[in-house]
Amino acid sequence: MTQTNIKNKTFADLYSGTKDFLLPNIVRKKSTNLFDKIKLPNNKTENWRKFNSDSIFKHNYKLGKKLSVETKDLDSLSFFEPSGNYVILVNGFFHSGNVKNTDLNNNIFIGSLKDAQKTHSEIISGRLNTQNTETENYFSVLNDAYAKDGAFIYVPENVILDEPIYIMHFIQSDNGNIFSQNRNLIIAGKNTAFKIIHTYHSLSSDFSFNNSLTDIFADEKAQLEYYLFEGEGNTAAHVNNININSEKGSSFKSNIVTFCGSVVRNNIYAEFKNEFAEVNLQGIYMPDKEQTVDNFIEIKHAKPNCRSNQIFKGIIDNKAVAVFTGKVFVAKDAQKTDSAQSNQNLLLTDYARVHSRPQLEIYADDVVCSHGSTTGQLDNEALFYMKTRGIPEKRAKTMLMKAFLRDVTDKINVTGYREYVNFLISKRLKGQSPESLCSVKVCPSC
Amino acid sequence: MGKDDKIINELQEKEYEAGFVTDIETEVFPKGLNEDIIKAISAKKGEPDFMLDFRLKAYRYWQEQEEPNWALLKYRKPNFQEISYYAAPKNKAKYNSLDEVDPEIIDTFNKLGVPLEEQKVLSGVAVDVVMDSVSVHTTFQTTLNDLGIIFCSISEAIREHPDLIKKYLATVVPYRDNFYAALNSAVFTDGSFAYIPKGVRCPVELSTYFRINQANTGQFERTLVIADEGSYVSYLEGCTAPQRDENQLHAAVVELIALKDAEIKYSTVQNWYPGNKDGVGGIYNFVTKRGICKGDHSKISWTQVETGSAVTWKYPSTILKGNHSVSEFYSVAVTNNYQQADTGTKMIHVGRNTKSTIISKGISLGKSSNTYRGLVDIKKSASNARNYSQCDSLLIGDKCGAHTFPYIDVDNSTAITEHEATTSKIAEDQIFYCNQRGLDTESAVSLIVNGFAKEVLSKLPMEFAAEAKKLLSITLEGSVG
Repeated sequence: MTQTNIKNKTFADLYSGTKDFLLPNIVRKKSTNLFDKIKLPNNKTENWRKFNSDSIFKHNYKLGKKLSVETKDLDSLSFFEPSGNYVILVNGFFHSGNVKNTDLNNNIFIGSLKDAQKTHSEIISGRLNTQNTETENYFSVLNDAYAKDGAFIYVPENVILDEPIYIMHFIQSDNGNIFSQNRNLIIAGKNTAFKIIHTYHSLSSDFSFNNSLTDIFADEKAQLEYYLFEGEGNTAAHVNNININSEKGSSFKSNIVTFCGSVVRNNIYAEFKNEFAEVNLQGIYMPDKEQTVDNFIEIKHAKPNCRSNQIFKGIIDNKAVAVFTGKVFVAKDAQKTDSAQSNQNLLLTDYARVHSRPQLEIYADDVVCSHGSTTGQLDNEALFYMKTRGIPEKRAKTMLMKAFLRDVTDKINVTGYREYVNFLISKRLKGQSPESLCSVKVCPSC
Repeated sequence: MGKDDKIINELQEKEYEAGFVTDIETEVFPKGLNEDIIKAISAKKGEPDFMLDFRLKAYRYWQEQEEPNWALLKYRKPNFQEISYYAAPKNKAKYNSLDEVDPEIIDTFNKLGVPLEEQKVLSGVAVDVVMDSVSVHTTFQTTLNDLGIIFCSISEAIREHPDLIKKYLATVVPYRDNFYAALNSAVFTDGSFAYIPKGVRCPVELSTYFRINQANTGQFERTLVIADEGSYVSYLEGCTAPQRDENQLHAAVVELIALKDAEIKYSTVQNWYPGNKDGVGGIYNFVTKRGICKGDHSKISWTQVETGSAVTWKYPSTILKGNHSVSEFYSVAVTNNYQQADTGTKMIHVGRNTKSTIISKGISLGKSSNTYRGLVDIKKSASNARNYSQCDSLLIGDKCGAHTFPYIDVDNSTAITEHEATTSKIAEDQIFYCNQRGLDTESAVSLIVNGFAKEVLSKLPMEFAAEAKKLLSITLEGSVG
């Protein structure tokens, strides 16, 4: 396959001559038509103002192939349980999966979306092309048009799972820079309660660009906890589009750990489709070197009596850049909306940068909405206090930073995964470089 | 709830009180904009060549630009060829005493509650009255002259003090800054100029009143205030405009320059015609206001009360270049009916130990939309910079919108920025508490709104605070007793 320079051509050209796309042609046609209107973002595109697009578009890419992972690559991911519910994907293609065999979850589906289109077409139809064109998101349109596979998780009505479901994506290159896409669909049926751990890792040192799209449906009274771990290395770019649809009385809690990656953009869009639902988004990011982490969040309160909460915290080191845009949109009739948003950043060097844009757009009057954003350094008084108690400065700093992030990581409800994240954080704060930690070879036990 | 609805309805139906047209003969240029018009404006003003060059450069740049559309505003774009770019009262001889001034003008200001004589005698404010584009009257000139303070119209300054103009004009807002700044640079007809010499504390509050009078005449004001080392000045600007059904364009540029240890306090009350309750007519207000704290330990503070205009697009900004410089921004914006405001501030920290404070209060009524959009930009060189921003919005009625779009860019690890925003309506328990204490709901709403805005109103100079309260009460009438 030839390499294509993205600046001159487009990502779409990479797909010329290939087939087996996920979405029906009629939908894809609509998306490809949108390319006339929606261009690759640059620094003049308001929603992508500080996104470091050049570092993605300067490379040549070829499409990622369906490759394999070895079990030893999985060993280091200590939180992962090979006997549990999981699906593993490589370069966006289904690799392997497992549904834990109990009586309860006979109808649970955990596997490839492409395969499920044949067996679960009724459930899937109508839930695949939900993209919101208002936001002018080039990458979600690209995914609509050309994605070929991804994970599909379906938990039917009244099923409650204690153990988490793992969705694990690996990026692997046989030779050269690769571009890959994946399209995931998670459906939490009525009255369900379960947890998902969704991770991204890269196994090669070639540059890769991964464009993901995950549609999440929390049906009536579903309780879904969604943990996202972005641990691709320093040579990986990732645009992660997540669309959340909340139905009546549902609760969606997510926790995003952006640990490393050269450029990571999270486009999170949550919409309340009905009343009394709750969306809780939390995240931490720790960019280093010249990495960019860009969190773009839009929560649409279309219905009354819903609650949303955002907490995003970051420690920015070296020449890294952190961008946060959090928009809360309250529609005209969405009375009794309760929304809070907070973004806190710690800058460790004079070259680190933060761009924070918490936004409120409100058209209803009986609402309580607030947002807060702070950027600064560690509290000198707290440091001084700790030093007077005999704690060396370096250690005191580490402790304070850990405490800063723990606010978010302690909310992780899966013990093994929480320990894994905290382990990486403490290693990282002790000065270990993120790329050495991002390699899947690191684990708490070895 | 019925009573609340009634109050809200009354608020929404409130007609613009200052809507009337003064009948004075004016000289108006033909509609449209081209290089000949610009040359004619420059010739009319008797400007030196460098000004004409500047105008033409700005015009040529403007022609290449597109109108910006990133703001959260919906309006019909003005047709720039349908506007007359020069209107001046014909009877423009300089007066020595108030008696010689056209009685119509005196009457206009009396209707607005700005009795010139009274102000002159009682309040000690020197008023440089701008009726449309030509400066008509300047008071207290003698007192100011004695101190070496120059306070005159900008046209006069261009003729009399070309060296100062050459040195400072367009240094803070260059003509290439944005679409409207370029347009203003090309066609501005008048405005105010103030220069405070070294170490002088201006004893009176400098004040101008703008008033768009001639129908269909865009008003392009240019204001330049320079505070030399160690000086202090408080500058006030207030605006009202008569009722007209066609949208009028206002694209002003204000530049403030504070040198070492100088302080400029800039206060403005804006009450231009907002259009009627169906959203017909009203002023388009596209203003570029920017100050620079050029020297160390300088200070610029902006205070604004925005109650008028159909569309407001205004971001008074400060470049904190000098070390230890300070800037403050206090704003109350009230929108009613179909008014739209996209306003806020920019604080650009360049120098070390610079500090900025932003307090913004937005009140939305009717079907209006009120947006705070502000930038806090801490550059790499701004060590120990400190910013605190607070934006609160109050919604009255369920058809209005209140939005907050802060941009916070930090490039320095020793900087501390804080931003908080809240949006809410007047809580039932607050009203209940007032009712319980014997206040009717109407007075309660008024009390709460005034309390909400008080933090900003208290920053206004005494003379202005009264007028600001009056304007708030006009906009909120029905609730203010």
